[in-house]
Amino acid sequence: MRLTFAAALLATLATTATAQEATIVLPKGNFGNYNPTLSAKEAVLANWEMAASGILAGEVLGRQVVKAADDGASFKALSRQAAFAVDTMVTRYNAAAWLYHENPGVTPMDDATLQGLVTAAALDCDAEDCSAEAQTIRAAFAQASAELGAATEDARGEIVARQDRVDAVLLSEQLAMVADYLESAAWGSDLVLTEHGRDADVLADRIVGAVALWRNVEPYVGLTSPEVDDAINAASTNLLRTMRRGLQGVERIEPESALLADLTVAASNLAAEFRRASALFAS
Amino acid sequence: MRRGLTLALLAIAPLAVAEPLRDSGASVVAKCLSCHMTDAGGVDIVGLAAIEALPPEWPFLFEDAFDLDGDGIAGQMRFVSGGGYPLAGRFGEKLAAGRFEDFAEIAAGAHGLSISGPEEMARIRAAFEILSPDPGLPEPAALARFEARGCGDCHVTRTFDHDGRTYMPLSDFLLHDLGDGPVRTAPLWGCPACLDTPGHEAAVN
Repeated sequence: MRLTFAAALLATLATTATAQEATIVLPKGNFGNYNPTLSAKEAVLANWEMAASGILAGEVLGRQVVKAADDGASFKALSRQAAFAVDTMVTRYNAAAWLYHENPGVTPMDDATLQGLVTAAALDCDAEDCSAEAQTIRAAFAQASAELGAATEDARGEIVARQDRVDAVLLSEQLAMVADYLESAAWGSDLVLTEHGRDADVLADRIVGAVALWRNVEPYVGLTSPEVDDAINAASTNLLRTMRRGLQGVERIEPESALLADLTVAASNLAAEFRRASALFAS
Repeated sequence: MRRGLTLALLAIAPLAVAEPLRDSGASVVAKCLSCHMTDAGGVDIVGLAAIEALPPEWPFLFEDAFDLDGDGIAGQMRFVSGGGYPLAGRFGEKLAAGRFEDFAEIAAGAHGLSISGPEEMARIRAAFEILSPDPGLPEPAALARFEARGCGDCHVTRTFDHDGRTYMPLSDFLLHDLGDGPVRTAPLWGCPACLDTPGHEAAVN
């Protein structure tokens, strides 16, 4: 009977968690009384998963563009598909910037690859023969998806390395990571896509990717210290408000700009609160 | 064995549709079917196998938790417990479960039913797998009208391939708050009439 259930469960897991099956060991769980609420450990791992799966989404979309090119899609169809893919690829890549920054073993995309990707996705062609442009799109997306694929593997390695750690250690580490990232200059520098007028997009995606971690772990901070919980919510709201107000319609962000200074203050305030939260779980 | 189960399900189907069995001595499978079976003889969970085959990257293609793109639509994915590892929610209107079995437990609990163990759970799964209607693809003209009304912003018209077939769930599998708390974009596959039925445009707009 146990074997039957194990077999059924394995079959289920095989279909529901294809992205995870290669490296991550999914626990079998207990039968009965299922509660969807994430444990503290699961909440932390969900944040890792969100970043890793986001990078994976970019890789998959890139491969689909390559496949469309190989299948002989018309330039218009290829261009349309590339335009959809590039937004998600860039957004998800930047949303995972905290993970790249805090884990040097996860290799970021080469700047030239990222620029080539955005340039290729914007290519236009009204000529009868657009094969050269299609080839440029194919090459750019193939390179980008290869780099994202390698990063996905590396990120999964980071997740696997954390599977046996206890809840408090993981919570403390992740809150410290996001604090480090927001305190650093990393989120506001090397915007890479300046020439494409996408500074604001890059910056917003990086900030939101870091702030989004809070959603999953908040319940556990709140249970431990409602005061820190409230402080993080206030600082987080302030950062997002500053970001929304400041980035509207902005294409290029100068390193010495008042906007970047305002965002740095707001990000540092939030980082300080995350640091306090991290200390709650440090042994 | 599967053929035998199909015949058994067909045998109880009329009874199941005719009267809810929650308080009778029937099996949990029959009790589930008493509410979930439709007049067409299937269950109301369309495309069970296809839901499980949904690519893991699917919600990431559309998630915009803070409405950064400014289109007025904020949708966020939900992770749920997988008994030690988080799973992306894909079952239920609150995306409360990542696996059919977890969803079945939630549903059973909500209806005061108790699933006795793995074997009964396996029977429930088998019943729903067999009776879950296969979602077809929508008719192009209806789909065009649907998109023209803006419904495709959440009921996305993107497709995925699985086992040599193409599926269009018509859902981003994200939670959206239309004023009554966050709910999943209902997958409209298998409901051709839904494409021409006015929905919640007013709430969305």
